[in-house]
Amino acid sequence: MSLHLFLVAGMIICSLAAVMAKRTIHAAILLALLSILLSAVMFTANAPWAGVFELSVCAGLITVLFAAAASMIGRGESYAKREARIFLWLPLALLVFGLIVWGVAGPVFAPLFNAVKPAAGAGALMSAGDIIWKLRLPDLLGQLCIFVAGVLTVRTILGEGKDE
Amino acid sequence: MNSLFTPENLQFNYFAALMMFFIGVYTMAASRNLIRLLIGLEITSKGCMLAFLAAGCAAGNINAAQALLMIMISVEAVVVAVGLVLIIRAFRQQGNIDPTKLSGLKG
Repeated sequence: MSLHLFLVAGMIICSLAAVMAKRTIHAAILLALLSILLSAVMFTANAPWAGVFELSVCAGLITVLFAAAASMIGRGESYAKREARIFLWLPLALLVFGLIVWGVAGPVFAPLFNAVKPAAGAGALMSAGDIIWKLRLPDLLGQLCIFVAGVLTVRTILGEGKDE
Repeated sequence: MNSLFTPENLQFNYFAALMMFFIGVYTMAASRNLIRLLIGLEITSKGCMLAFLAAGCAAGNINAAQALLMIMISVEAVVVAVGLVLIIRAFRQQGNIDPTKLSGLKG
């Protein structure tokens, strides 16, 4: 059995455990574990830059944000009963969905998967840095706009709270 | 057996990505806790990232997939930060984080 199978299976199990966890803080920690497994998949797939990004931003920063929000709100337990009842059905629903996808959709789309050929375009031999700075420059500008919008939104919303 | 479970195998990786996508969408549809809803969104985006990575591996152009993944991760961080700030603000104003009870803007 390969390492990739264990990592991907671990990701699915962590996803399930994260949404079924009773306390929000536990869900945040399981989400961090999911990010760590995804970054390991990225490392094994020869994508170290994306792996480092995933590890530092998703497993680090986002987990801290979730933990801070959970501690500020601190009332996740009040919804736990209803949530637990609803998410009891999730493993069964996932199993049915998985059987349908693997048994029906898999064979139908298999010719499409097998038809994928190695890329031969401009970006095929370029490094990740060159692709970001030369081919994906509009994406970077959009990303910058999203950063600025995000910072302004956070500042405005938290500022309103202080005024009151 | 081994060739099925590799980062290059689209069928297996897309299957795993779809499973994670399903878990995320189910959470977003069923949960009445806004933080858990954001966690569902995160899981959905992780499934998409796995699909991107597999597509990059299968096409032999992992660097392009890497570049897109880095952009996706940073946008995701902004979305989560803004979402959590909105949730905290809603909690301070309304006293709960149940989306069905947030009726402050109701006309």
